[in-house]
Amino acid sequence: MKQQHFMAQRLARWEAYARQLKRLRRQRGNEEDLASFPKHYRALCNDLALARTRGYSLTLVDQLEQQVRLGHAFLYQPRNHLGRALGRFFAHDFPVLVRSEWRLCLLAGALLFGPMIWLFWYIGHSPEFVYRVLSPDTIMQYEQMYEGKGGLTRGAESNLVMFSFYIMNNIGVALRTFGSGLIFGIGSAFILLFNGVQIGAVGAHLSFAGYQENFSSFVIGHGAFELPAIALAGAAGARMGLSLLFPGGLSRMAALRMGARRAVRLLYGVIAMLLIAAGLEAFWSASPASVDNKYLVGGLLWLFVVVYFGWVGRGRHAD
Amino acid sequence: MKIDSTYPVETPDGIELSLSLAGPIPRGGAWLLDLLIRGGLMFGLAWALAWMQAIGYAILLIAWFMINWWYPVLFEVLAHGATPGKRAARIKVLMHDGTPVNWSASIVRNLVRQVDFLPLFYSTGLIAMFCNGRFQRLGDLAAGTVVVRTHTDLIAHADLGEGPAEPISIPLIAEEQRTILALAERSPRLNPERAAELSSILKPVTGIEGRPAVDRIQSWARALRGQMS
Repeated sequence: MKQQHFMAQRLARWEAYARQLKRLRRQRGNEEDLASFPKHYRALCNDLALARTRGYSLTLVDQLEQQVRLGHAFLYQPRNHLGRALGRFFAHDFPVLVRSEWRLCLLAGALLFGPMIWLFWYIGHSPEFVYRVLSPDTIMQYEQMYEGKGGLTRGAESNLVMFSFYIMNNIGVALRTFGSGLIFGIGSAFILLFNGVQIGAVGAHLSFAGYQENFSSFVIGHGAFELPAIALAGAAGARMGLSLLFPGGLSRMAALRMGARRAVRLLYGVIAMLLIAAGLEAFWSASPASVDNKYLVGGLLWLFVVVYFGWVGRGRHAD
Repeated sequence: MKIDSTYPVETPDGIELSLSLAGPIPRGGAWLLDLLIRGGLMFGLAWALAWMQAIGYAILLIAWFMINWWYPVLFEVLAHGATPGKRAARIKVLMHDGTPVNWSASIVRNLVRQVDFLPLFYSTGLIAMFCNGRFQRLGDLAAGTVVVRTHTDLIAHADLGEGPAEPISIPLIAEEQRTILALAERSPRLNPERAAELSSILKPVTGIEGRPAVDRIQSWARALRGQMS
C-alpha cells in the first residue's frame, strides 16, 4: 500500500485520537473517552508498527511516534490514591519498614545519640570542654534563650513564625542528611555525628550551668519526634548509599534503585514526624504550661514513639 | 541508523519508542533558568508579603522551604515531567522505562542533586553523565530516571514540493528507503552546496552528481511517498 493511501484511510482516526488524548490530558474527557482510549491507542501502535515495517517516510513515522509517546505517557501514568496510601503507610508500613532496617536505624541512632551521651558525661566532669566544641558567642546566645523563671515563652504570632522556621530548618536538615547518604552513607553519618556533637554540647552545658529545668522541659516534648526522625533520615540515606556498596545478587545500578525506593519511603515517615515535631516545638514546648505537665506529656510522647516503632504492625511484612 | 543519543524503550504494547536523551548543555540551561525563576519568586514573595509582618514572615519561610526543596519535585510530577526551565529547554524527566516520573523517583533524583553538585557546579553529576550511556547523573541513577528531549518539532511535516515523481529502478530495503526520504526531506533546509555534496555520495545508485542528483532524489522521494503527480 502506498503511503498516501495508508494516510488517507487513517487520517480521520488519527485526528480523532489526538483530540481525545488532548481532552484526557486536560482532564476534560468523559467516561466514553476514558473507556475507549486504550483501544484507540493500541490501534495507533499498530499503525506505527505498519508504517515502520513498510518504510514510510520519517515524517509520518515521527508524527505517529509522537502521538504514541503522548498516549503512552497518559496510559501508563502512576495511579495515586493518596489518602488510602497514607493511612496504610502510617498504620503499619512505616514502623514495619523501620524494624526491617533495624541495624541501620540502630547505627544511625548510635551516631546521633552516642556523642550526646558522651558529651553529657564528659562536660559533667570538665565543664570548660564545651568551649572547644562551641564558640563563646553561641553559648551565650543559648544561655540567654533559656534564662529567666518561666523559660521560653512567646506570643502567638511569633509561635507561627517559629513553626515555619522549624519546618524549613529541620526538614531541610533531614533532606540534606538523606541526599548526602548516596556517597556510601558517609555524608549521612557525618551530618548525624555533627548534630549529635552540637546538640550534646549545648544540652550538657545548659544542664550543668543552671538552666537544666528550662532546657529539659522545653526539649522533652518535641525531641521525642525530632531526634528519632533525624536519625531515621540518616538511616534512609545510608540505605541508599549502602545498596550501591553491597548490591547483593543484583547489579549495582538495580540495587541502588531498589535501595533508593525503600529509603524514600522511610523519608516520607521522617517528614511527617518532623511536621509533628515542628508543631509541638512551636505551640507546646514554649507554652506557659507547668514544668511537671511538660515532663508528663514529653514522657508520654517518648513512650508513644517507642511503642509505635517497637510494636505497631507486628506480624506484617513491609512491601 | 544509529545515533548515540537515542535510547530505545519497548512499551507493553510491543512498540519500540526511541527517546532522544538530553545532554548536559540543555540541562544546564534549564537549571539556570529555573534558578532565575526561583530567585525571582523568592524576592517577589518577600516584597509582596512584607506588609503582613509576622504572619507574612511565617508564610515566607514556608514558601522559601517549598521553593528551595520542592519546586523541581512538584513540577516534575504534576506538570508532565518538566519544570518551567526544562519546558523552555524542551526537555523532560521520564522513568527509564519511558513512563511518567513518579513521586518517589522525583524526590530521590532531586535530593541526590546536592551530591551531583559537589564539589562545584555539578562536576560529579557531569562525570557521572559521561560514565553511562544515558546521560544520567547520580540522582537519575538512584531514581531510575532519564532526561529526554520533547519531540514536538522534530521534523515539521516536511513538504517535498511539486515536481516529477520517478519510481526507483532498483529494489531498496526499508532502511534505505528511509534514508532516501530523510535526505530529501532535509535537503531544502540545508545550504545547496551541502545538499549537493550529500546527494553526490549516492552516485553509484543515481549515476549523477551535484545539483541534478538532488533533484533526482527529490523525485524518488515523491514516488516513495506515493505523491504521484
